Amino acid sequence: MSNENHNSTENWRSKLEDLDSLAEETMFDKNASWEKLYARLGGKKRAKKAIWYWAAAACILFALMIPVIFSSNKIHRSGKDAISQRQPEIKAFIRKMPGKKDSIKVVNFVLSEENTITVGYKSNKTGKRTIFRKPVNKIRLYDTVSMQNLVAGTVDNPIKTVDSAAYFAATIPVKKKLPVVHINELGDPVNVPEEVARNSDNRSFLFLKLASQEVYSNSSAPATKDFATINLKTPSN
Amino acid sequence: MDISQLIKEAKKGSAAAQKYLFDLMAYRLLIICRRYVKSPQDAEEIMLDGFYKFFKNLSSFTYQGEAALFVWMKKIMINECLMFLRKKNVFSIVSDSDAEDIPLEEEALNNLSAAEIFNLIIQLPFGYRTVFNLYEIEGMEHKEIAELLSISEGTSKSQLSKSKVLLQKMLLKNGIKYVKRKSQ
Repeated sequence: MSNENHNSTENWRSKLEDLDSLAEETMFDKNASWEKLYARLGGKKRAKKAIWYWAAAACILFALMIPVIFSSNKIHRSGKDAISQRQPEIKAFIRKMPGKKDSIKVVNFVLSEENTITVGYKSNKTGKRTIFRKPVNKIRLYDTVSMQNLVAGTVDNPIKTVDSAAYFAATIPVKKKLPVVHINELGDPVNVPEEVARNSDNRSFLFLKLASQEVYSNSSAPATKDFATINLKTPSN
Repeated sequence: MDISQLIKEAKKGSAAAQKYLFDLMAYRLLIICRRYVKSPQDAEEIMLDGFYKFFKNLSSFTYQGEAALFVWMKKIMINECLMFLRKKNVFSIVSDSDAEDIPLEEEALNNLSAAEIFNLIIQLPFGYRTVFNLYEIEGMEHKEIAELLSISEGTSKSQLSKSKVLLQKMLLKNGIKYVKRKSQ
């Protein structure tokens, strides 16, 4: 545009540029403004610090997790080895079951502490995956040979094989045995004198049996009597 | 303390140096923000945003004298003001009509004080005021203004023309008799 001319006198412009205070600007509190700005600058620094703290915590956590990750990999590997080693035996065991004639691939097997065998296998023909779970003690006679091999094969498996009887024997606390006492070891029953036995009111009485087989008793006398009776029993011989 | 030294200290994160720089420039920069944004509260917030960006990007700044520092700061503040106005979508409502190019009555303005000129400018509507500030005070071309405000060059020209007419009216209203209107 022809009239776009900036070369005219700059007087009013320079005046405006140099303007550094206005009457109404006395309301502007420099210190308060600075405090706001400083808080913003400081706040950002704190946020950055917090990010570093979180990063450090994550690193420590990862370092602590490394042994756990490696050990779980090792366990997984040993389980896989067990499956590959015992593949023919497990296959033979499953094929003995009715209707399991096609070729299969055992994916996993676990013998649990409840003595239940769980076998996961895949049909090579259909690709269908099946999980077979059965208690060991319910396995039929013709399965037992394979099962014995299987159980022996799970030694490398992370889940230990457990003999249920031995397991329960080890875990259930043994009952405290009480000494057996025979009746004839209790001795002869004391012959309570006839008078005492007959005196069946509710009062207490003293009953003594001496070595000489003399028996003393304070058997309560009838209410009408105001004296105690001492009965003396002499040995028969 | 020397400003170059202050800049060095502020780069290192010295709060005292940063405060000194803030105290040194805050008023002048706030007045620039007020020329674009009428509300004193908004202008103060924009100025703080500008200072925040300045301190954050200080490491990339090479000190080449006080004037260069002020120019840089002023640029930051104007950008912040334009961002604020864009957020408020103020440029979408300005008309696109062509307007006659009216010369600014420089002589009349020269006879006014800085505060009087400032008060006249802030009375302009935001569209006129923004274009007037950018063209007449910052020395930008209409093409640059159009790009900056996402408006057409014609709109920028018409806004400037209308702002000058309005300024002349305000000068007349205030009893400044030596302003000659072009039409007369």
